[in-house]
Amino acid sequence: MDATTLTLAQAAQALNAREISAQELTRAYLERIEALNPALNAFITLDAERAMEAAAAADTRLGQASATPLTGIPLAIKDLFCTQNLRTTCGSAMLANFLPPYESTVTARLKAAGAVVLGKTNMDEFAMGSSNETSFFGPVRNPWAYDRTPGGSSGGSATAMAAGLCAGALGTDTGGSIRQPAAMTGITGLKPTYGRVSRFGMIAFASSLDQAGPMTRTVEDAALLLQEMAGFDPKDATSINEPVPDYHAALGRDLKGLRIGMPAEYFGEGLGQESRTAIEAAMEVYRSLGAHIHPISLPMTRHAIPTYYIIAPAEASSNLARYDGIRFGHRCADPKDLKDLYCRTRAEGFGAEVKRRIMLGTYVLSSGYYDAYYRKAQQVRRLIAEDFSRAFREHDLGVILTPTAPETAFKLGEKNADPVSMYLSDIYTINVNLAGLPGISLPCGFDAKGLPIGFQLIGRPLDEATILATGHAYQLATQWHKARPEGKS
Amino acid sequence: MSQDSRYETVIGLEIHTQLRTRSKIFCGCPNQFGSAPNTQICPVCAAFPGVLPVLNREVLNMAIKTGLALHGQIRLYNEFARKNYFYPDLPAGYQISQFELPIVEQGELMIEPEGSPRKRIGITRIHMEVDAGKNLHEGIQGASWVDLNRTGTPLLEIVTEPDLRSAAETGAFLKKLRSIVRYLEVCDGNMEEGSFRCDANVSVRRWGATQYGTRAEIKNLNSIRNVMRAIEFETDRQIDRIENGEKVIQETRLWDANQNLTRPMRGKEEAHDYRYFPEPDLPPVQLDPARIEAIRATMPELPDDKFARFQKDYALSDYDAGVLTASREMANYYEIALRASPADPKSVANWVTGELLGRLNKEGLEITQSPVQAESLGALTAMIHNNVISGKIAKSVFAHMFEHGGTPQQIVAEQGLSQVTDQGAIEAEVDKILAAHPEKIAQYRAGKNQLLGFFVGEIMKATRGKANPGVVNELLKNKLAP
Amino acid sequence: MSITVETVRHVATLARLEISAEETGIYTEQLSRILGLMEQLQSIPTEGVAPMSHAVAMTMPERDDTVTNTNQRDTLLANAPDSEEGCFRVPKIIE
Ligand SMILES: [Zn+2]
Repeated sequence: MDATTLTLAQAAQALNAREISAQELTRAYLERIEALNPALNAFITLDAERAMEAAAAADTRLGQASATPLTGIPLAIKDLFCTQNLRTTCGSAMLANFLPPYESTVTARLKAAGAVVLGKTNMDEFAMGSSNETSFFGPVRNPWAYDRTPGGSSGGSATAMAAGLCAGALGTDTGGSIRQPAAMTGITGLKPTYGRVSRFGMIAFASSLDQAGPMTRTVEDAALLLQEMAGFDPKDATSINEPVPDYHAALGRDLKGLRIGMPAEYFGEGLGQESRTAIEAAMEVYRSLGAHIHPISLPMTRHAIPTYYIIAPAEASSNLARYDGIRFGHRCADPKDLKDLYCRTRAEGFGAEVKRRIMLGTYVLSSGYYDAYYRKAQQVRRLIAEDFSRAFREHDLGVILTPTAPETAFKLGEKNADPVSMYLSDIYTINVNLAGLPGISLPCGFDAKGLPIGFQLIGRPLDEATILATGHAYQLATQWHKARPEGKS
Repeated sequence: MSQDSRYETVIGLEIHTQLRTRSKIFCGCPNQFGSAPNTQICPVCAAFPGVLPVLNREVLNMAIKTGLALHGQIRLYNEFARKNYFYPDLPAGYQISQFELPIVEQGELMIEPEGSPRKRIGITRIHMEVDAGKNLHEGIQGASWVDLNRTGTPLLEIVTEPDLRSAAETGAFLKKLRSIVRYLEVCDGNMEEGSFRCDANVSVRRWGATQYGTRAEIKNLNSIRNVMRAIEFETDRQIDRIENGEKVIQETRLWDANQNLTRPMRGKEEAHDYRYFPEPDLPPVQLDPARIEAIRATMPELPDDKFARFQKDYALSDYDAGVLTASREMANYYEIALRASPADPKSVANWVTGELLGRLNKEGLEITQSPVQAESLGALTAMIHNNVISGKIAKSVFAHMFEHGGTPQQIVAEQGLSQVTDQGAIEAEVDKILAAHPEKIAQYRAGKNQLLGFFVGEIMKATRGKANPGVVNELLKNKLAP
Repeated sequence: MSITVETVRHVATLARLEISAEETGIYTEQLSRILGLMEQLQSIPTEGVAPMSHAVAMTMPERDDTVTNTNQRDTLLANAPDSEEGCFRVPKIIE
């Protein structure tokens, strides 16, 4: 048995049944990482020694009452979650040597549940990018085609998951950074409701949009990870203080009578033909499972990109002001005065895309432009959110089904020169962040080049259970999530 | 200073009061003054990557309390905002403050400047924000040091309308405001240590003008006296410029207390653009009106109310009531003393404002440090009222208590200072003195009435002041009658 | 919407980013194009629409006023590029 082919749920079962030890499982992943990572560049930092220690501890705990479904499960963590005394770079030269003296709430919870952290995965610098090419540590390759992007910004986690370098991975999603790479690498990626998962210890990109979520082989695996990640955190004032349901128990729900909304605006010109065909086939599967498909309209959809590219850079420009070369991170050599310290440190420490967004965000907040850009975008954001709540209410929908990305994985370098075309690759995911809703992407086919296609299920606020159940039913009826990129390079 | 009577000065203040919470506003670090650099910081207040602020409940309570005390409107829905600028003492690169929706708006404070009628000063707004750290320069070669201990200390910024018209009014306003925040126990009001800081916006205009002149913002004002001196200097400076045909420039100026002048601030030369926007890490505050009422119900009696009550209940003069309500501690002292001598509020007031404050001032002590307890001073006053001792003896008992402690009862008993009120004993002394001065009796009877004082003095001398003066007078008058 | 080279320089100063002449040109062109994308928002009627600053409607949680942190100066200074005498060291500041 190659343990690295198991789903997280299967691995948990095998561990629990003592068919495999946590140390064996961890070692198998570490060996696979050693073999494949040099070409894929999915990890920035490996933590093999502590991973083996954690696995040994898990082996002791397995079989005891304190064991959880995650005890002994090897995970890959996006390098945006602060991990105590483990380098956390956020994909940036600015933090190339940053050792956090504290732990993010999410990783702390997963570790407490007995999960094993293999290492920290590559990502677009400060999560700003849709192709993982803005990373200071170089681009990540898509295991389905090494000359292509895995998507971004959680590209390292997506590739690690798709290539079988971990049993589960953590990503973060500000405008699609979990769902878009999940679609491009043929895995499952869940962005929970804003506030469902604590942001404490997650290095901020855009505070009102950022949300952590699982990236996994299956929907069931996502449910198992979310179970431990979710919940109120007194250290995050924006985390939601509501009980966490049993997500795994919800997976068995019958889809008969489920009403699925299909927004016309998501199936327009921008969507590639092959993706359209695959997603229409997915809808057929749902019809066959007893669900009803309802055409709906979300008229504000086309305003999401400009709205997002005002709000996210504005918040980022402020969030990234703390990188000033004084308390941590990169500092320029021999600053001649304070201003020189700031300006050169930041010019050297940040890459081009980060600087572009800081400039954009600074501009839209600056005196004389605030009302025209920032306030306007905040108002349109509300209209976008109201679009969704109206659709859910008026059509009594359980979920909304859309494409995840307009196209399959594009070639590395293809969109580098043109930021605007790069920004458009998040067109189907950004609305969900603006509205704060949960969204999940799951694989539903391949294009002629053999590249994975994904579709997205959007849920009502805090109703992760319904999108998980809807996604799980699809995976019970189909095989797409079982495809592996082996030998594809 | 020669203030030109053709001009009037217009002053608005921004006061930063550090709140006396146990912990900082957004993290669990201690809120304390004077610790070794950077020993009271954590990843949150030092703005490390990925950390988040969580609001201290007490900061909201104190803001509400202050808002109520200044008769402001408490905004049930208010929000925090980020004010963005780079400076080493501001680790996040933004200050968490309030901007469009502050917690308090439209308050007021009545002031009583000496020799002028009461005047209303409008409070534009009060908002919550974080204090910055400190940049240290002195004695450091080729560098500055950053100490972030103060970062994250909760502040209330109180902004006034441009309603003040002189240094005297400004001084009166600041004293009154300081006494209120001390009454509320939200701020210790210590300007020297920086827990109560004031920036003044000063402009001048011709009498009768309807437009405000160009203002200068004066910083570095670390005492009420300096605020007043800076306003006087700035008034003259601006009038001089106008009289010389020059323009007043809108700028920030620093008060130099050594040279008694304001000068333009160097350094932060660039025009500010703070790029305020709502703080995405903190949801809006939504206050329950019941919470505000609960706070209102537990508010201490404030100086104005106390002043009115002291005048009404104790029949005190403006002066006495003013001195005794200047601080909560002073008023408490008085009322505790009064409990031991309830029949004589005026004398208790005289003793507190006269003998006690005189002595405390001389020794440089606060009322809270008084060696004479309020109960003892009250007991002392009661002893005078009940003719146990005379006023004169009381003064020496007071001095003894001040220097050596003890209660007046003890001291009077130990030193045998009790007043003699026994008619027979005093009469014996009176007879003795009268027998010794037959010629003076004759003169008195011949009409030299002022000799009565001589006899009283002699008797008091003989009894070492313990004879009750009323009884002595009575006896003398009877015996001297022809 | 196009922005000028001067505006780009001003924004870079506000953001404390040193940018070369070449970068200034690139940013001027790119930011103009991105801002062009945003023009479409101006046509949307938003009168009376409350700006949405948070993804989910919630109100401020409050924590108790208790001290939970102790001195951790040395841990926090360990990441500092330059420190001295328990302080973060920066170039001389002129006030
Ligand atoms: Zn702190």
